[in-house]
Amino acid sequence: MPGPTTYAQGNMAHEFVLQYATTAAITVTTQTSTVATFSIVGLLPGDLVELNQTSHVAGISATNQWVSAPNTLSVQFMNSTGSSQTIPSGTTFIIGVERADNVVNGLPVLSQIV
Amino acid sequence: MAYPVVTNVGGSNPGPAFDTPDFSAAPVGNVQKVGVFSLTLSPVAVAAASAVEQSFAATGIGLLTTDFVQVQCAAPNGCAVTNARVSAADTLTLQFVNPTASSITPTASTIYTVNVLRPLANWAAPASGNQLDW
Repeated sequence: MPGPTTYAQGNMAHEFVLQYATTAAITVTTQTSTVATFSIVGLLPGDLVELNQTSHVAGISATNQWVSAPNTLSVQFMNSTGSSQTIPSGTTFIIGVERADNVVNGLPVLSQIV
Repeated sequence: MAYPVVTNVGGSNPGPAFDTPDFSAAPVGNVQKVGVFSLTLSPVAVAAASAVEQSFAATGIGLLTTDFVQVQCAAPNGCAVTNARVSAADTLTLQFVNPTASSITPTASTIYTVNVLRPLANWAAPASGNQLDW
């Protein structure tokens, strides 16, 4: 039978799914990584963010992402190939954002599941 | 950088400030459904020094292209899963990175745990301002 019957428990105060489209191309040279920043108003340091890149660029992977400053998403892209690769402008990401309750200095107060 | 003083998304309610056990919370936001599922997958070989996608159709989860997905699995033989997306209805597409100098085939019949967040169908991003306002 479909439909949820439970609420999740924990310290998560907010949970969002957002979309973002890049406004400029991002070039990653051969066998290196680079960090690009994107402006998404509302993000706060301490938010847990994850990305789905909705189109594939051969050889490029998003290997880490974090909120580096208020309203700023930083994403590390890695190029594992032997030639320079470019993520085109307009590439769309689906972004999951989870925000803990009771965040102090960008970190949730809780350090374990209780 | 000083952490901004924010009480909640709207900035108006300090909330319960959880720091003790045995609480329950229903987070607010634009998510309609959340689920954790498992799939048993057998990816094909990943070429040396490459990052390539492989798609797995008919997962049975009922995925939509607007879903946000996260995937976790045991490290597949030295390569990494670096992106997941829903490329078509009920089709999970994973990106595998092999930074080594030789081809790697991820372990067959490995269980991949899939976390799915589905936004509300009628949610639209604000044209400007706080994208996480609710």
